[in-house]
Amino acid sequence: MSKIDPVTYEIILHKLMQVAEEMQINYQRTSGSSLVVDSNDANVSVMLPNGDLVIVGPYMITQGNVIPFMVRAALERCKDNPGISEGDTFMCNDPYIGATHQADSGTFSPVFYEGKLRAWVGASGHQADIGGTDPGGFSMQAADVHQEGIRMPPTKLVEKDVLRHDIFSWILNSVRDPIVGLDIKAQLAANNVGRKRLVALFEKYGADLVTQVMEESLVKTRDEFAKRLEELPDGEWWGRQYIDHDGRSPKIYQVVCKMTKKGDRLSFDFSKSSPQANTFINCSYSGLVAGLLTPVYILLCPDMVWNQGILQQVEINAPEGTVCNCTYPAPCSMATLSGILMVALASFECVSKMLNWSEKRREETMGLWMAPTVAPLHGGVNQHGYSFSMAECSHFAGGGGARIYRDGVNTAGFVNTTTPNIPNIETTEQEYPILYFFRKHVTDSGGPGMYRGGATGETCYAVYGAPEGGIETGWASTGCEVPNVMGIAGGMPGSTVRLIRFPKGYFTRLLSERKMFPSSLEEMRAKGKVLPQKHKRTFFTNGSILYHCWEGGGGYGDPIEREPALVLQDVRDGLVSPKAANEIYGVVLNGDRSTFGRTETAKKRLDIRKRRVKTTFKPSAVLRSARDDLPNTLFLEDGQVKCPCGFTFGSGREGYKRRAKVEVASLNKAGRVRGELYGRGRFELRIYYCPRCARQLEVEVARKGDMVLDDRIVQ
Amino acid sequence: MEVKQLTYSVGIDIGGTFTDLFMIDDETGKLFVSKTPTTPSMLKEGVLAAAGLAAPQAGEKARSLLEKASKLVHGTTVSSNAIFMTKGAKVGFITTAGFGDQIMIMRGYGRVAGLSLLERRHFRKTDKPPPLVSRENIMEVHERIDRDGKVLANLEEKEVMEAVRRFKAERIEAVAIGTLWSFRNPVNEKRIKEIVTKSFPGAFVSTSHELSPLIGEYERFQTTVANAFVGPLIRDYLDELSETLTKNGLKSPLFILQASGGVAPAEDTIPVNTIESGPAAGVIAAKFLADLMGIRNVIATDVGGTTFKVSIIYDGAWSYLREFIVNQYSLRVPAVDVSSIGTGGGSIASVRLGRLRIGPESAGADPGPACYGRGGTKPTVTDADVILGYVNPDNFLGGRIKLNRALAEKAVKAEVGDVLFGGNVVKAAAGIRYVMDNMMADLIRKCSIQRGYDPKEFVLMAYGGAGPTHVSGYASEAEIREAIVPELATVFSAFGAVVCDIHHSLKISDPRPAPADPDVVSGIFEQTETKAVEKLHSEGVLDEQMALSRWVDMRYRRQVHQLTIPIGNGKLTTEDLADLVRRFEAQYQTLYGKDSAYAEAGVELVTFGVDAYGRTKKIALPKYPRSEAGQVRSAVKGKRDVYWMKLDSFAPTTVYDGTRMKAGYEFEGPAIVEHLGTTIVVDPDQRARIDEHLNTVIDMGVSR
Repeated sequence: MSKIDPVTYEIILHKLMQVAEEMQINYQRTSGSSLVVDSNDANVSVMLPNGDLVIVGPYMITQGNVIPFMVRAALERCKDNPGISEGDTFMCNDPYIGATHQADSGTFSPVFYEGKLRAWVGASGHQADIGGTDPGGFSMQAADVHQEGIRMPPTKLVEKDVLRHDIFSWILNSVRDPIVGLDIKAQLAANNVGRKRLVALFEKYGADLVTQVMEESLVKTRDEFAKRLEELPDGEWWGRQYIDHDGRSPKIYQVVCKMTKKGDRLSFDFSKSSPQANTFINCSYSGLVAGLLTPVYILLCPDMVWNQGILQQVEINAPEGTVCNCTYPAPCSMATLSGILMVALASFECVSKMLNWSEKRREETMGLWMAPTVAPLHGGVNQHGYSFSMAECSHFAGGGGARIYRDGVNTAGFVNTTTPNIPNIETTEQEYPILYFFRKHVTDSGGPGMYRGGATGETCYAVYGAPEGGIETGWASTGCEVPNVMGIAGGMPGSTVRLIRFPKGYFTRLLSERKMFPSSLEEMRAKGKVLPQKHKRTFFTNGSILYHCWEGGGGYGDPIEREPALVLQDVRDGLVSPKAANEIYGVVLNGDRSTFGRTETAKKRLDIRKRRVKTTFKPSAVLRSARDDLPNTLFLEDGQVKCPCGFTFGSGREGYKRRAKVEVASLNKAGRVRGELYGRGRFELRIYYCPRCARQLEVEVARKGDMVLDDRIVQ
Repeated sequence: MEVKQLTYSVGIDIGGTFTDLFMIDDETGKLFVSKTPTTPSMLKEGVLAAAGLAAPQAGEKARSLLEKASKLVHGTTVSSNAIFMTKGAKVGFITTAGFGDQIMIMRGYGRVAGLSLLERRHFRKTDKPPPLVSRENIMEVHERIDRDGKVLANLEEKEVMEAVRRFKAERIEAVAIGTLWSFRNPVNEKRIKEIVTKSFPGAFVSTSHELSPLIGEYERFQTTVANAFVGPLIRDYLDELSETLTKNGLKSPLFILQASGGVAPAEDTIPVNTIESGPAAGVIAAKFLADLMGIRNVIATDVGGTTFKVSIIYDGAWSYLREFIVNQYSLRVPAVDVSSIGTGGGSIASVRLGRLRIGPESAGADPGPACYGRGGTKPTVTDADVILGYVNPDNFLGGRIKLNRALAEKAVKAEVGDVLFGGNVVKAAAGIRYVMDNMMADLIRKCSIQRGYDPKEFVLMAYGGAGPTHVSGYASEAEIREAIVPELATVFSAFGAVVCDIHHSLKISDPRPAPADPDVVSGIFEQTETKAVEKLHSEGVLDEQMALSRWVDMRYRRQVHQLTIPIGNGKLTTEDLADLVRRFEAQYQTLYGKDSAYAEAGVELVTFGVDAYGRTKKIALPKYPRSEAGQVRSAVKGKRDVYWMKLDSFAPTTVYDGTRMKAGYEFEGPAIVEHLGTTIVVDPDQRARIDEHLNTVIDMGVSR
């Protein structure tokens, strides 16, 4: 392949990216699914004739990454019958072929130019409903994939530019909410514009040249990614995530990721993960790939074109039959809230930890970002008399991960979207029979650290004015008993999910009093009932009240090294409680919280250090080394793991944890809202300290008795 | 015999770098312009200084000029600067209990609002902008109104009093008030305002239902808080400016430019509406010129130092933005739809991961491009233009800044040439210019094609300092047939200010499904129109100068995106409303394709709006007699070598003196025309002519 001149390459690539962006804009504008229009749970992609990803659109990363799987399946299965021709569009939502779960259905069209297949364009998004046993696409009680709604292999929805009404009405026949029709048309609108723009590019620049740019972009990305990997330390890092409920019982499943980086190769091994569940929490292989690519993209390749070139440097070992690579016919409708996200977070932890050992790219390290592991689902008839199904999506604004130099962003979005969005309170109330009491930041939700993880949110609302007397309600969440959003380099995990129901009588009382609606959980003057993580749909009558919160961002570094003035401001802003300021951050505030005592704080922090290592403590060791070029974390020097205080842990090849002091603590050591409402005493924090200066080095979240995450850093 | 009093219409636009004045003799149509550097700490004085500088041109002194001004329109960046630098008033915000964090949460999207796709992908580098009100000064008061406007919980007035006590102790300067559903029932916001006004006189107060009665609390509250944030600044600035001008002779009213492309009397100006008013005035100027030339479809383009801005005028009308993102804050104010990307003359070119990239980083004014010789070492687009011979180092900004070509070459070679072009500095500079022109062309295509328009049906106007220098490239890449560089290109916003009408945009959200009751809809419009007419009357606008136009924002149910559909005035009938729905569906299909409409979802009328204009007296631009086309020779200044992409080499190129160009002159590319503040580039195989208003009209040579 001859090399294209850099100017032409840049110009055509820019236009290809604009094609994807325009496809997504058309999709958003014409869709009616609240998950797509208000929450951006969708994406588009542009692919080569063989399905290789060239450009992925601006929104949900996981959604854009699975379309290539669907295209490849269409190429295999549909080539001869029913055939792939100009003007066709296929639809697919089979998780065993490519979809993340059935509710995320994709449509994709071949792009022909002068009779030759030149590219594919596709759109994938979360449908308001997909049939199955429950509204909204999550079938709580499903025993196999057949109970989770329609499952379409690549199916020809549009034939030579004519919408096949038989297929279209068959889909609408199988779903509860007619808005699905509008959403499918929105995907068609996206693909139509993609096709049109690509053909215009072929015309203007010549199809061969455009194809060459597409192919070269893969090569370029692969080469750049390989080069980047070369710059990073070799080693082996572990990440672990727990699913704390499988839909029927609070049985624990784990997704364990061992990431090995050697030279310019990156490999992910999931073989220590739990066997697949017989409920809907599993994810299929396509979901696993989409999940693990998420942190690879955003942490390692933020400045590259995200495409197939990246996968060429990656190996994946995920035995079939595990919770993160389930086999047919295991159910997996909740993959997007459990399996896939656990894969994304476990691999995020590995990648971020690796970056933290790299002098050159340490800056890219972040605490984990919240993943949308909760979804209250509602369906029924709204106040305007229309039937609907919807997911309450306030949780699409969760805590961002702390950076090595700044706090994580509060209510920042979530790990697998580049463009988060949550609906306005008023927009939701206008369309659905719901009335909110509050939506706000959760105190202490950001993972403590030298830099704090971003705070997350909580909300509470009543069913209000549903003409049928109430609405169907179900919910599916992960991360109630144990946090999923880990800190890095001694940063602590963010808060957990909680679901609480309040009795209908309380709302009736509020309406009759006509004053002082509760504006926080503390102001609720009724006894709430803690709800299990996941629950099949039940009828919530008008006046039933549901509260939930989602997960906070992971912290970075040792909390007692946080600048006290920042802790003070957090307290004043309601983001950190005075209790946590004192106990976790070691900051002594004065009575009216307008200032802190500098000497008292220094003393308090010294006491904390003493308690950590339980030895007579030499203050001199606490003093930071005179060298100001040292990071606030362990680092590698000549293959040796060192603490900034000067302590040497020995060779990175042997890991450092065996020489660290470890404290086993309850989850609440990281603050409130860390699973206490769901606590069964099954989990612990393992906090590793430097034996010399008592610096907090790493915080592991583990089920009691589970293996230590023993990273090895080779250099 | 009555002696006709000599009068002038004056526009003064203070931008970040320059203060521009445009003035026209109302009787003779004679034009006067001036351009002076802006001194940020002395803005009021800058207005006077601009008048002082222009006055002698008309044989006046500053005082006599102000005395003879029939109107003075001023565009200011005071509010834009406050928002971009987050330096404004200390704001207190009162809102519904339980929802004080909405403005902090920013619907999650505040972290990435307005950022490009590539910027959004770098999670680590994204942050929410600093809040315009600190969390400690957001006071929650218990009250609740439901979606139908019914009061569910009464306002706790004592909490409002507590909030005011805190605000006083905290020395709050401006109070914003925003409660849920206030646009549907403002009773609680009104009562809060009453209490605040009474117990906290002197505070600037802003309520969400008055400012932006639209559904969606985050954007409504953000708009209200932003108004409070810039309110005291704008109020004080305009008060002092009015006083200064009056003291110096101004007798006519002072009008202030707004982002809606209209003007409002200084005392009637809503502070938040002045944010980013400059770009809007450019669009108005483009529309004015287009009307004069009988052109219906225009793409207005402005290339500044850091940004490239595009607006579409279709069938004689520009469109408004529904949401206006400034520094990642979402504001719901009436604003002309201006799209922009971070590429301009000062944009930095770099090679990242083997790719040649332009912007969004900019060298700004300090240190500026490498060729400024102020210590900048990063190559910019201007550096490339100097290397290629487009920009004369001795004629930049009328010779005010001498450019250093050697420094430009050094920077381009080191950062781009050596990395990607084997050390070839010319190829590198040409690459920078070509990529830049293509990025701009892509934005033009995006703005037109995404709205269902074909750029081939448009004439392009290019203004701003670097617009005329790049138009030959970006317009032809966008397949535009004809581009116009206005004679007034370098003072286009000041010119636009003079030709703006008084404009008020009133709207209210009241979502209702189609078919809507025509009496109810008529009622909504009539009420809104009564308000608008009262406002115009109070500003001295006569009935015959008034124009009202109605529109409805519509969507398929549950969509978020809406289309704005105009509707006729007067009493509406069932048939009118049925026609409205038909026109919505037709436009929808034009935009999204023939199978995209889905009537089964139901159509909804969301927001009802009235645009009320007070037409100002139309100024008449002077017409110049035509000279022989061939006489253009007399404007030749010389020849120099210029690099032409199409020839892939330098070629001797005729350089014309812009000030000597006369109506009727015609010339062929390649050519360079040097004006005082800008340089017009005409490519090989393009042709240009000077029209009767001295605008340069370039035939792009695009095949039909």
